[in-house]
Amino acid sequence: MFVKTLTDMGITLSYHTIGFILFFAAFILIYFVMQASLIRRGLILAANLFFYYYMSGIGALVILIGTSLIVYFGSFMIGIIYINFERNTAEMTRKEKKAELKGYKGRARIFLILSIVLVLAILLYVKIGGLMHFTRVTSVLDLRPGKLLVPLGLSYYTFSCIGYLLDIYWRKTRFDLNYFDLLTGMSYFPIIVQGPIANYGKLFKQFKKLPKFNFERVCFGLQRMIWGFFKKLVIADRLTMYSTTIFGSVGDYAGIEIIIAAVFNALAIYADFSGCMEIVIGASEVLGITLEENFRQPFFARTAAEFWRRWHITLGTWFKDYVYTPIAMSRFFMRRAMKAKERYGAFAAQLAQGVIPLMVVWLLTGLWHGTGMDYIVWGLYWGVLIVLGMVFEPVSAALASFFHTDREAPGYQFLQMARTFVIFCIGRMLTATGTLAGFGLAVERIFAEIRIWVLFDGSLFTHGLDQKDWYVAMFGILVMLIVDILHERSVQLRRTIASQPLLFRWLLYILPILFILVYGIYGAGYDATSFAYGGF
Amino acid sequence: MKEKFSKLLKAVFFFLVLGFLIGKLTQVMILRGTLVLPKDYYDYPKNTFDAVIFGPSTVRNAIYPRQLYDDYGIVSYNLGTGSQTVPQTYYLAEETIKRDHPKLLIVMAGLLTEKNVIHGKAFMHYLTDSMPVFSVSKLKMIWRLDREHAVEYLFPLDIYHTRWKTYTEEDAKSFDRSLALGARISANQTAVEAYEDNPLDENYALSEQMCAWLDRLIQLCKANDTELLFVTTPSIGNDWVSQSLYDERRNAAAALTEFLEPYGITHLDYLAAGEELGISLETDSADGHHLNVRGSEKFTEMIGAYLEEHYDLPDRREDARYSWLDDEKDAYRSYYWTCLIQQASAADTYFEYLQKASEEEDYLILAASDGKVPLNLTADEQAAAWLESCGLDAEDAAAAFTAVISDGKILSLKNEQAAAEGCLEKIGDVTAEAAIENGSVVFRLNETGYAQPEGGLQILVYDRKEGRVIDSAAFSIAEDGSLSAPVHRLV
Repeated sequence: MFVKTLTDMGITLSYHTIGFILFFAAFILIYFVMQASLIRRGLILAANLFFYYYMSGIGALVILIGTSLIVYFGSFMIGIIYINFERNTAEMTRKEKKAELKGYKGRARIFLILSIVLVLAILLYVKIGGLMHFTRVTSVLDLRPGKLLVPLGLSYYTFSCIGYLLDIYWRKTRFDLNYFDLLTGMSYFPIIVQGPIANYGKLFKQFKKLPKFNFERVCFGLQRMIWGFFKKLVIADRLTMYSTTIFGSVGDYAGIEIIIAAVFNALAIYADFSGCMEIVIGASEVLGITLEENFRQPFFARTAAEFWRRWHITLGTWFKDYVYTPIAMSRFFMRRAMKAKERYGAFAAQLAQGVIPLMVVWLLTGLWHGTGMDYIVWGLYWGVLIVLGMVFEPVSAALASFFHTDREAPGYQFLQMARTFVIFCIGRMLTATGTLAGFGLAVERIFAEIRIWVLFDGSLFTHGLDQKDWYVAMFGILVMLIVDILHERSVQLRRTIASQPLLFRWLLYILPILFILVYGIYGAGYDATSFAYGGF
Repeated sequence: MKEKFSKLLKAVFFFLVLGFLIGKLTQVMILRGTLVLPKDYYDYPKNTFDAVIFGPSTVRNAIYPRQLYDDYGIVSYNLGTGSQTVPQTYYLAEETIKRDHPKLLIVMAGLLTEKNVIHGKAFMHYLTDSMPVFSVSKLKMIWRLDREHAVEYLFPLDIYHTRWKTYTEEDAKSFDRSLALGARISANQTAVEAYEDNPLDENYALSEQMCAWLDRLIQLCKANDTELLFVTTPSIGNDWVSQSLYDERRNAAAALTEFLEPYGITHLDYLAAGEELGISLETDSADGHHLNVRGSEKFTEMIGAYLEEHYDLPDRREDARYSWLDDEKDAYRSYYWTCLIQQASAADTYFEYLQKASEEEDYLILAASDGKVPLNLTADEQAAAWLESCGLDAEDAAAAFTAVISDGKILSLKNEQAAAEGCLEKIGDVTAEAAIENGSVVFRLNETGYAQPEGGLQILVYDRKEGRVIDSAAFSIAEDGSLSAPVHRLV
């Protein structure tokens, strides 16, 4: 009834909406009034389940709980097997233990594989169903072949679950006996929609030791959220208006119009995704729970490989820990590497060991983002670029040495960053139109006409963004750039602001809020024609 | 502990300051307009008004509270808003009764034929944007009538923040105090044709929903010892409302009268009876639907006389508590004339109002004609009368001329060849100049130029009491020398 009331009022809990702000405000008011840790944990779980139910419906909640039970059962069984191993081999020598472990691991592997297969099956069904245009339903009772129910955050919590199971299997972390902590972590409302992909082992530990109210931490968290709203509402949603117009019918545009759209698309996705991360990490910081950073000034990356160590960091880390490393460190690839090293040296060994696992990672990364051919090509695009980067690194170093080029010089670094940005823009274009044919058309149209005059004749202000929006967008990008430069130089902005005099500090907090309220892209917007008095 | 308390206090204060600023920002961005609920109603002390008027824009135009006070001593406020429906009136009345405990509510049952409880989101904003933030009646109204858009009603920045792109200096002004106590003064004039008065449908009945809301309103008034009078303004013309809708409204108005009978409540139905009030289809319509000032003054006179006869409303003209109304009389009259002059849409009404206003107000007027087409005011009697009253005869005005007029009299006049020299006069601390430069009229007040790009007859009206230009009007001159309708330029 309460949920229906809110939905009747058009309230959504998406992170960048007033609904979320009200939800979060109400939650933290109750949260900080409660002192007992157990009650707080219960509150977080209740908030998570409410949030999830509100955003995704009962059907999706059932699937989430079902998945949590699978993961709990799997982790429990693996955990018990290892507990038995510890108990039964307590008196043995190391060598004897190692020999015994094989058998226990074999049994544990059964539960591991079973759990992962079941958890992955849901994700695969949704991905394949999407590809085959299954009809979407919202109730579990309506699920049957050809129907699809897409739980919110499925990709994110599936990956986190698989990571958790593997960590337990690899004995990097112990299983958590407390099912509710598992459920709380899986459904944790700040991360459920867009990540960051959590390491459940680390996350569950934090739930067990929720810190008390800390004024500075809460302030910093809220400030981070404000920054996230700025990025999302002022920059991202504004730039998207232009790029959507262009890529929506790319055949009508050409030259510089499309180039600008590609740049805006890149900046928009950065501001959008990182903005949401600021909001959720900030929200979690308010509660005293630290989440992994997901972005680290990615446009300062000098190579494609470095870019992906700065962009969607938790996804890259996940693929490295659970796909790349297990493949590359497998017996097959280790043998290949050794043979290559014997014949051709260390560099060849590195390639022999790393290239195929890298391509596998990037194929999967592409599929994780989307199931269309465009995403597969996108994944392979990045894979090939990173591999080429690896392959040509010695050549690049040799050329730099030959031409006496200092590769650490600011100018050289800037060129590398610009190159990486261009690569990223091209990568974005691969998926911006929705099809590879669209990408092809976009590229063709870039070279068909340059249309440089659009920079001077005002027609640029007719493609979804008028002149005033352009000014706001440019201002927003400039602010974002300045903040990123400061962060790249390890300036702790929040701490720096906190050390300023009170009135100045408050100005720095209040002005952005008012700026977002006026210039943010949100709400229904004022339509003068509907307000023109046409009545009686 | 002390530090914790200090931090808590700072945090609370911070959010109070933030809330205050967001409130101010909302007020800055919110829509202004002549059909929005006047915000300053809530600035008056409680229990101020003895009568309050509700209904759609037609009643907002039709009843002048200032006239009711000046002529009958009745203190009232006009809370008519664009397309206000009966359900909206109910909640607004509920709020008003809590605030003012008025003795009488005058209600024009808005949009009796409307199927929906509100005419549209925009018209809901007309009310919610001005009602107090924590008004319970507002919350109930939103919940009951349009909860789907509750967020934007409760947080108006949700829609109005995008107005930053079209924000003008006009928007930046704070809400002007309604000297007219809510009424909208319209001086436009549109000649209209009469509707056919087709026979009424005796089987016509108001919808169940409408009856339920009317009943609620009646019970509300009964429970609070407040009398209720229903009115329907004359339908003045057929530009906005088709014949069939007019017929339906007549039926609805008749059905309303019938509905109210058992309650003993009067309905003054003038929908088809404008003639009885002397309302003219030629001169008394603002836009083909609303009464203009001529028609509204007649309607208000009727209302005032009816209230005096049938209701025991106190005459507050000697009441010291209401001396502010007397104090504001001059300001209201200035405002009144300003509205009339700024909105006059025909040459004859323009000069009629200008002449009458000049008798009451302290105007400095600059007038000029470029003489490219000779002025012939044979058909423009009012213009001729005004010029004559200033001491300028038709012959002087026929060719090019420039003139400075103060207190209704010419101070300086240059015509024909001398017109190019222009007139320059100093009146008090204002230096006024009217000239013809390069064939175009230029007016200057204290060195500030008001270029008049149009040809023909130009008038600039400066209110010396207000210290500002209230109108700049241009009349093109037809080949026969007659004047066109004025083109008012914003100054």
